[in-house]
Amino acid sequence: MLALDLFRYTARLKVLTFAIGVCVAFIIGSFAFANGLNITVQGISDKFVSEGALAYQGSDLEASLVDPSQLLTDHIYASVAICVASVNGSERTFFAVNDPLSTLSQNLLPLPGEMLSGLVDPLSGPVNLTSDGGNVRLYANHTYSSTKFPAYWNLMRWDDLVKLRPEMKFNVSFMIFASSDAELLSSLRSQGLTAQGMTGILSYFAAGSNEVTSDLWLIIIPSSLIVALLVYSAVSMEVKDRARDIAILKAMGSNNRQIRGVFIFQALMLSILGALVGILIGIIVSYGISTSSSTLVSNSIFTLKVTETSMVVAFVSTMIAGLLGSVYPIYNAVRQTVREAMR
Amino acid sequence: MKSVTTLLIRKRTIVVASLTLIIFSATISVLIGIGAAPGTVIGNPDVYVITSKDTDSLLNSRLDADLSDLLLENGFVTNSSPEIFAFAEISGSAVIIRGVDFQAFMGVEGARLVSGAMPSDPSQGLIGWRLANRINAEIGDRYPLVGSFNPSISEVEIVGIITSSSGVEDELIVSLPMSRCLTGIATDSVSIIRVLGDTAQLEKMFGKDVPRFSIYDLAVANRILGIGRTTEVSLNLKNWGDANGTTHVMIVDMPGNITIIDSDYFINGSTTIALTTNYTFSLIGNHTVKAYISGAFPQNISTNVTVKGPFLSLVVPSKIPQYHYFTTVVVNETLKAVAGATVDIGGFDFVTNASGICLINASLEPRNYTINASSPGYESAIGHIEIINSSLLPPDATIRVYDIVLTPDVVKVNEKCMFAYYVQNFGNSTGSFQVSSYLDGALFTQNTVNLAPLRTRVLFYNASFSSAGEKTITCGQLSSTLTVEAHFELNPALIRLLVLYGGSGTLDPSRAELIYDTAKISEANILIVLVSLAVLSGMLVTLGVSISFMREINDNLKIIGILRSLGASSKQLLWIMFKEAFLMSLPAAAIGVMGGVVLAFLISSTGNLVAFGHFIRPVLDPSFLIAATAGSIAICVGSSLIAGLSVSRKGSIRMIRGLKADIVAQVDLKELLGDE
Repeated sequence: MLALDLFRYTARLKVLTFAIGVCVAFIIGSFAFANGLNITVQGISDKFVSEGALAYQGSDLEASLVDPSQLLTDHIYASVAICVASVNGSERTFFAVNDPLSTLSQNLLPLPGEMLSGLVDPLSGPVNLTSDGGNVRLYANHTYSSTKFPAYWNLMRWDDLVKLRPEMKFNVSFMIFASSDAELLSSLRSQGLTAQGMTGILSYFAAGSNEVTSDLWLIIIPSSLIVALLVYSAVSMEVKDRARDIAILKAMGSNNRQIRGVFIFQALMLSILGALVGILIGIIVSYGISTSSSTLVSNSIFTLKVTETSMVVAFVSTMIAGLLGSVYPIYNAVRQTVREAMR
Repeated sequence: MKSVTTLLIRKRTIVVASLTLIIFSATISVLIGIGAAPGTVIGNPDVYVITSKDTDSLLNSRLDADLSDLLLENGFVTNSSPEIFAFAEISGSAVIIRGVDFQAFMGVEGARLVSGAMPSDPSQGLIGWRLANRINAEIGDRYPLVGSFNPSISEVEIVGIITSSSGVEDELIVSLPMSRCLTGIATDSVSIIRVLGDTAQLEKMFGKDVPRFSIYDLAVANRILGIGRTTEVSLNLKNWGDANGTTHVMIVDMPGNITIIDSDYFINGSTTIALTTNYTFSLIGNHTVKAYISGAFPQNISTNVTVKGPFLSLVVPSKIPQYHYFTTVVVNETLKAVAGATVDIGGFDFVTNASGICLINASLEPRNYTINASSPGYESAIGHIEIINSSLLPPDATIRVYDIVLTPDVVKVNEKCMFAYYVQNFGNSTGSFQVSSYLDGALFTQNTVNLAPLRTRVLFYNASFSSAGEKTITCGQLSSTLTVEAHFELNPALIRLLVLYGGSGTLDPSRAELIYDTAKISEANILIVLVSLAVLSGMLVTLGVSISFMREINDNLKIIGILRSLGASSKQLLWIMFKEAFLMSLPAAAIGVMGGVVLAFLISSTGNLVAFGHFIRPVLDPSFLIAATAGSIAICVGSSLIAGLSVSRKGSIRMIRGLKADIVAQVDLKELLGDE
């Protein structure tokens, strides 16, 4: 087996190593792009403080019913109940707030017998509210303004809302916690609630970064295919050029497994060399792009970053593609007889 | 040569070359798609998007919501959709939320309702069909939403699914009130306004790097003045484009067409200059002062001036007890005392002294009288006085304002109005009094007057106002209304549009800086990265195709050696190989581009290529075809050249013997062949 000089055709080796290197650099560069995007987005996300958490049951607020007496938490929160009631033939959303610890930092308690309209299409005068659960008559003489609730929601007292939706006597629709941390969210979720932070752009960024990273996995497929083609071509040429060597080895008693091992080893070495060169090129190219980006774009905050994970992914995908690309030529190498090879 | 063409590179290389070029074309399509992804927020490419000035992103743009209505008043806009952006994560997907006026949005976007109905209240919304597929949303589903930047809560009920030709298919469309709750954007602001209409005209109005001019606030310091009096005429000229430029301005006095200003003015971008000149009106009568500007938006505005001959003004007390003395003051149009003027009351004549004053004893019967003041060369003036019974005269000082006169009572923005407060002591003792006047409830003027019994004083003030509207002046129990008109009578919608909104939207600082950072990553940075990736991809494919050619060359090395031994020069061999490789790669390029289109279409059909809530649609337009075709041909040329060069450098003997350069290098061929 050692009789075969692995890198006898150094010119070809150099070309192929460089070619595979460019493939790997492509993968590395693509992931550096995704990583840079994630890091930038993370940096921006860090500047937003998630203020408060929302917890409810199921998938929507209107149907949600949470029994606060069953909730295990030390965090302070405000309870909110909502219901849809009919007013003069049209349906409107009403809500009531129970906030004894001033979590919302705002007094949202109408006077007895009154309701407060939102600023959009406010009600006025005496209004009769009816729902499946009952009815109530209130006076709507004033409006409320809150940054936390939609301006088309209308505010009422909790006991009035219970008249429209009796199940709210002992339940709430959702809870607004003063703070938001992973431990609290995890605790709420473990108690069967749907919980999320109340700064939407943080979760938007997180989900968006994941999407971009997922997209870039698609880059690996075409790159790997080209690596496989390169290795296929290289090993095919090797097999042809070394037909006599193979014949001699066979004549000397080498079996197919040993012959196969020689070429698999060569394909692996080629892939390893290419991957290493590619990682190097990838780092240099990414650095070059980052630098040129900073030079060409004023106030650039975008930096490409090559991570260990992306290097491992590029390396492993190159190995797999190299091995797959060598399968057919190796099959041809071991298939031919000594006579055919010598000819 | 033809036989050689069929000998050296077999047609099977087309397969390998095609495969790599298909990948290249599809990659280019996806990269162009990634580059175009931020633009998908714009939606329908036919629409014109207006953002606030100096805003690099749709996200931190803030515009007055009124602009949308104002645009519709102008003929060159047919549909206008004010919109607000919010952000959320739903079922693990990043979701862009667009707050809209639903009817306006559908009109601008050209979107179509696939199923369901249009929202009928602010809690309802629409969803793009692609997003609906991604998060498995159905009509009737409700999604709780939290504020994008500040804590707030809302819930949207999906009532319709829409389709469109743009990125809107990946978005959740909610009402403007809901989006305001989610973003904290005030009720009078929106993020962007998308319009359909005369794009060329809109570009002239809102595009960057174009100087654009407007004139406003044409003002003549005195709307009523005496002949021969010089007054100040002023006009503001604004270049609300980003580029510097020159425009021609004319101000004329009509009738007579007398030129007041006729000059070119150079103004830097985003700058306003005030043109001011003194002008003397030489004709009695009603004048119209007109200002003109030429260019892409020719405008003219005007204001009216009344020029009188020399005229008198008369100051008299409103009430006086019988048999008491009172004074009248006669002044001219410049408020200078007129001596020798005749003051007639109830048929009795009095003459003013050098100070324009005459002292009169109210000896007439108690009733109302008209006082007439006249003087040669002046238009006469009249006043009114009530002579009352002496027993009604209060013993103490009783000072109050008995009249407010505004001259004129209708002015335009920045034009002067003279306020005259007539104060009289109606009591029989001397006293002082603080005269305070209020403009729309806020303190406007304040002055203390000392008045002897039955004396009168007039307090004059001049003021101008920078905003149009009705102004109420209150002094004691009296009030008067001043009308301040804007300079918008001629083509008001256009001039308001230019003056108020022409490239000068305001930026809401609230959290804008952070979002601005986000925007930065989507611009030139990404372009550089994408171009670099495209170049790498091109290199990759060139090497792939080259290797497949070299494999063929390797298989036919002996034939090439024979050609070389028959006398073919390196140049000829290079040309033979180049031509053959190129001819072989051309069909591969064609297949590659077409296959790339198919592959890109397949990628597109999976719907899995999503970034920050928007589907990355592989681009299959002419730009892609040009880029992919040019890239493929360049790859063909490059790889053919590599193949040709690799052949031209090989020696005939080593090719015929099938020896490789590395082996041959170990044998001194020259020595072997006995050349020396």
